[in-house]
Amino acid sequence: MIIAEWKPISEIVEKLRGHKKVLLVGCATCVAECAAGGEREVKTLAPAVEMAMKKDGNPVEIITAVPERQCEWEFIEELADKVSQVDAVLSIACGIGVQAMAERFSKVPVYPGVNTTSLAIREEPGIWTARCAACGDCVLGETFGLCPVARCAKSLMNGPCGGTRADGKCEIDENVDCVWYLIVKRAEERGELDKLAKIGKPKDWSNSDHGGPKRMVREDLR
Amino acid sequence: MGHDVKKSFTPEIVVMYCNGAVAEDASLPARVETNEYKARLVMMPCGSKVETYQLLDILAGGADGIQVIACPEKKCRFLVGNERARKRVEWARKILADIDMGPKRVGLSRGEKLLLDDVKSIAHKRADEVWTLGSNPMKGDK
Repeated sequence: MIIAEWKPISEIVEKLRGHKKVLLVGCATCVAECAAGGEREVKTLAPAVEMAMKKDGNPVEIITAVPERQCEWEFIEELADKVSQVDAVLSIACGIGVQAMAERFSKVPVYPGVNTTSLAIREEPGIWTARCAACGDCVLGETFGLCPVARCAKSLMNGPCGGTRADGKCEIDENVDCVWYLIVKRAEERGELDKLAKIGKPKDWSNSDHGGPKRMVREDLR
Repeated sequence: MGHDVKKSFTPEIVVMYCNGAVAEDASLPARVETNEYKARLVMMPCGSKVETYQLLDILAGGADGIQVIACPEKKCRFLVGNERARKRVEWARKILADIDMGPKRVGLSRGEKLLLDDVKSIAHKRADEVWTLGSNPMKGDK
């Protein structure tokens, strides 16, 4: 899922200064799963921002909405009536949702209330870890289902490096697994360690961010 | 803070208590008023019914402080309800600190077989904390 985390409320206050009525809009999909922008978080952030704005000397009225998805036109169209009542929108969806809102309702300022950080999995309640970097050239078939692009601090294709700790953690953080340690372990378990010695093709980064903004077209769906 | 501050306003406290933390025959009233504070008492079937957004919403609505009363550690009849209450209160306190509203407006205490006098004493302690922060600036907005 797409992972996001709240911006500091002081930053939100700064952006909303001068606005009188604001629509705080969440998204019931990815950011709800990562507890940043779902219904519960909308209900939590709304009074927090109201209090912070009042303390700041700029009281604001906040109304709320949580569409099923903020990244699809059909769902955000339902917000048109509410957007017409406000002079700003605070979106706590991912960056895609924020942009969709800003595109559909281009006459109203739309501010992000979260920072979108990664594509991640929920390890356990309250802990999410990045698993995919959307790099455009998936190598999971060669790395035993563990992504060295998203999960190695150096995105190494030929790890592990010298920074692996004795317990298999990464030198950057004792709580972060060295993904190459995990890859080697899994290869060993399968009795396929020799596959890692094979010289692979250079990774094609042209389909990642380095190739410019992505545009995918499926003529059969148009 | 000094005596003058105490006289300047009467804190309005909301006490959210777990039904399992009070004595079976406690029969707590819905409201308590003393010379030092006013309290609204809200019974919950379990401490886990407390949500961070409720705490913030109550404060945004003008209450001066909130006291959550949960069961003692490891004595929740639903196993982890009192632990969830603690985490949610802590999250609310962090947000209140971030927005400079004073984390001490919300507190958690634990108890079992509490009687009305015990609950009043706990509410009084929260009122004491709130006195040092002053009246809720949101008062009268909603």
